[in-house]
Amino acid sequence: MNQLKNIFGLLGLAIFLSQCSACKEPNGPDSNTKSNYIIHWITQYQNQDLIQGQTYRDAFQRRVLFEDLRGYISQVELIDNQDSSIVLKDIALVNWFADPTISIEGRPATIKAIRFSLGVPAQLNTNVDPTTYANSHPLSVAGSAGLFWTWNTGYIFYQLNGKCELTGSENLPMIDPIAYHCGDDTLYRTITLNVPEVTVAAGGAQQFNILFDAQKCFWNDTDTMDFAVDYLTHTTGNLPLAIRAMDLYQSAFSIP
Amino acid sequence: MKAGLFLGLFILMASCSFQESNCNCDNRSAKIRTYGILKQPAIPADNPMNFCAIELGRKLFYDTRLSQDGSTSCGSCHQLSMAFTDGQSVAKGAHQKQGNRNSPTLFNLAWSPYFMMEGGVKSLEMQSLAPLLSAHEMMGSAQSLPTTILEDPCYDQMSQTAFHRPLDYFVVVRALAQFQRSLVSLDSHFDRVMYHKTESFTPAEQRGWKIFNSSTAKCSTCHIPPLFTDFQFYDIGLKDTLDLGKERESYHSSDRFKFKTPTLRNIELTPPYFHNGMVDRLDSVIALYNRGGDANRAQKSHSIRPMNWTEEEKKDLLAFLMTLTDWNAVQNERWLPLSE
Repeated sequence: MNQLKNIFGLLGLAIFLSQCSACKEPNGPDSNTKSNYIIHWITQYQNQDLIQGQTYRDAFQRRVLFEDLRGYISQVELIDNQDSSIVLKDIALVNWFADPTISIEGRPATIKAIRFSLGVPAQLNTNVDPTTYANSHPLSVAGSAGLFWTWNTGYIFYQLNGKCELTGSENLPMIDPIAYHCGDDTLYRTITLNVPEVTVAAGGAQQFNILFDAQKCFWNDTDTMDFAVDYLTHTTGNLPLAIRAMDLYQSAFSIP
Repeated sequence: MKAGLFLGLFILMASCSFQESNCNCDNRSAKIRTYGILKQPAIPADNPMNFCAIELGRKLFYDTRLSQDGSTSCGSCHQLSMAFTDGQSVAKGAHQKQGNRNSPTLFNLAWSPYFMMEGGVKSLEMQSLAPLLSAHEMMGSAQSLPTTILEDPCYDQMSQTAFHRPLDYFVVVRALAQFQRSLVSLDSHFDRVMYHKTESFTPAEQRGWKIFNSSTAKCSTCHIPPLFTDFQFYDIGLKDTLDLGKERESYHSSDRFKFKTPTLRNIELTPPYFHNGMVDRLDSVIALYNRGGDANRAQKSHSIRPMNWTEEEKKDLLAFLMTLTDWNAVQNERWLPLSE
């Protein structure tokens, strides 16, 4: 009987100690309370809303439209003032016409930057089998929605399909195709955007906006796509154009 | 009256039993028949061979419902009587949409280290996904398998037996891979001469075999028996086409117009030849090699050069190539569609 009492006594002490140990974690009493973080991509073409099928102008003032503008983003994380990260999303397939938003709970922190990558990390992109993922997963057969290259087992990191009118006519239909299908481990890009430091308390919420200016997919300060020649890459066959397309795509993200 | 009732009952029972036999399948593990010529191939750990999965793969292989317009199955472009090719220059898929490559044979894929003519796909399971979703082939929906297939109780039963899960793309690609792994062709006249010593070459075949192995022709350098391929990639001097070949996968311009060495087994049954079916006849293929190809490029294989074979030598080479036909394989009923 006494032995049984001793066992229960020790068990009780162990539970008490384990609870106290949790109370003494460095972050204090708020450590189990989460903050809500929202990252919202505002998608535009110059200063206009980005709309599928709408007419815009390229660098040479020729008419151009987007039919498809999607891509994988991965390792979406917030960087705090201690240079630690809060991972919000490991991978997502984003339709840029849909003003994408990621909302998730994380530990309270003082945030100074947002980091995310364009594409699928190499370990998820080499010798992959999309049939092993649940349908809801962005890397599954269904979830990848055509951004999986079945002939070469890998994902399309960034897909832009569109049309333009190369003669400069305002009346002729836009029939000249543009297709940038970029995907290869060497095209994986990471973007870090600094934000004004903000402290997010436990139970608090903070939204961070990122501007995606699709115009920069076509030209920026260092490069300009001329659709008369720069209109088609499936990465293979025209890797230099895929690299340029990916560089321009990367430059389209900024803090507004 | 009584006789009619009995007859009706008999027909009903017979049809039930027939349907059951199509859905019930044997989930014991299976091995690939190697005819004592090759070792058992490496099988992916997540797709061990079993008889039920092979039968499920066979059923799927011939099911046109997997294509967008219900017109095309794997078996449309890979027909047993033509050693799983289709006799077309380039394949036609759903909605009669034309592809840009010749349908390759499916025999002996169990020993292939990679797939597609540029070798970009590393497993037979993933290769099976390609035609299902390709816009030039079956144009299946990546979103889901067709409802008629998902709701087919027979598929569900076979899938549960073979893979312990409902039918989905995971099951479909694995079952198709298992069926294709089971397609072995190692029972030709050549095999009976070389490996089993039960037959002999004719004099013409013997001379052709000698040319095939000669230090000048060097055919066997790339077409290495018993699979008659080295799985490497070469530019053999075909006329330029839009198809970049291996460069498409490697990005290296030095790989332009290089394609994987195809097997020569059953070559007699698989015209037209080359990656885009540009040559109709086997004697024309030999003539092309004899003149050293039709194009000279920096990356062209050094083995491809004028051979100066006589007419007799060309005939001998042809006679040898005919020994690689496996008539038993191309008439094997186990690889025909399941009877309904």
